[in-house]
Amino acid sequence: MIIGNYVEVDDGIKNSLKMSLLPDDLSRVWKRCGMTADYGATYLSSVSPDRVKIQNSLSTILNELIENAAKNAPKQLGTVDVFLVDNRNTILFQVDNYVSESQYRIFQQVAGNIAKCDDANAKYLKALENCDENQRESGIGLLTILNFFNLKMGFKFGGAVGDGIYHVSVQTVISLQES
Amino acid sequence: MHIENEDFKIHFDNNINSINFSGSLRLWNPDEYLKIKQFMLDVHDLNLPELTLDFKDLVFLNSSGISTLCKFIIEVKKFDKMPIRIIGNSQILWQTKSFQNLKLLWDKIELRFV
Repeated sequence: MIIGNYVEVDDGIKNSLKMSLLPDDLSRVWKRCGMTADYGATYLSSVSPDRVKIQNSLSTILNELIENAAKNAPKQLGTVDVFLVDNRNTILFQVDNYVSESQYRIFQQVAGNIAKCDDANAKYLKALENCDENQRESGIGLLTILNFFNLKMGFKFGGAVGDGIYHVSVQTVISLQES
Repeated sequence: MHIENEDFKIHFDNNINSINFSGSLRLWNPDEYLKIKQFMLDVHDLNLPELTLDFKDLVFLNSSGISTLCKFIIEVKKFDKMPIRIIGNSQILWQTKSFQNLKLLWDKIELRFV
């Protein structure tokens, strides 16, 4: 099932980076999420005339996607796959991971709310005011990047791959001219 | 008063009534952000004539950190004890966007971008 703006990306596409990370490694050394985001952002922004600004924005977006995956992926199962594609005027980030059935259902609701959202800022402010310590159900991390940056976001929900385990994919496409 | 680790530093400068943030703040553990919020509330409780939150040297803040900042503003708004000024970095897009939202949460906040 696809929600929002999601495009199938060919695994063999050129001008891309792909990293497969273990959820347990990210959880145990949390700064690895930021390191991965910084590396991807630095690489992709290296020839941009507005390099510093673009690098910061790309790292902020990518970090949010990786942290989201690292928090929700079962620690001992599968990988968090980070896929970065440089389409020259746009950058595509895709982060795939496995989740439990309960997280799958919550995430579908979050994705549906985000995709239906006409006013990202209003939704974001409401989520902030209502936010408690369990931020996962509000989708506030994804709302943050959707609200702050001019990007398109999409989700792909795969079927069950094991006993109560499902595959999810979150994708953002960022226009470099507007970031 | 300060909190710091190898990635970030939060320091209260009592000469200018400013909490200065620097580095990269991307924590996972919610307890660590609670400590930061409590630090800010403790400074707020000092009954200063004004309080500045200076973020111009904070390069990264994740969504959990931005939420913590918003929760701090929502809490201190109830007391309305002193003017709050926020200094941001105009070259960092998450700052320009998120601090404008803080002003929507409480219109008395003064924003300045350098």
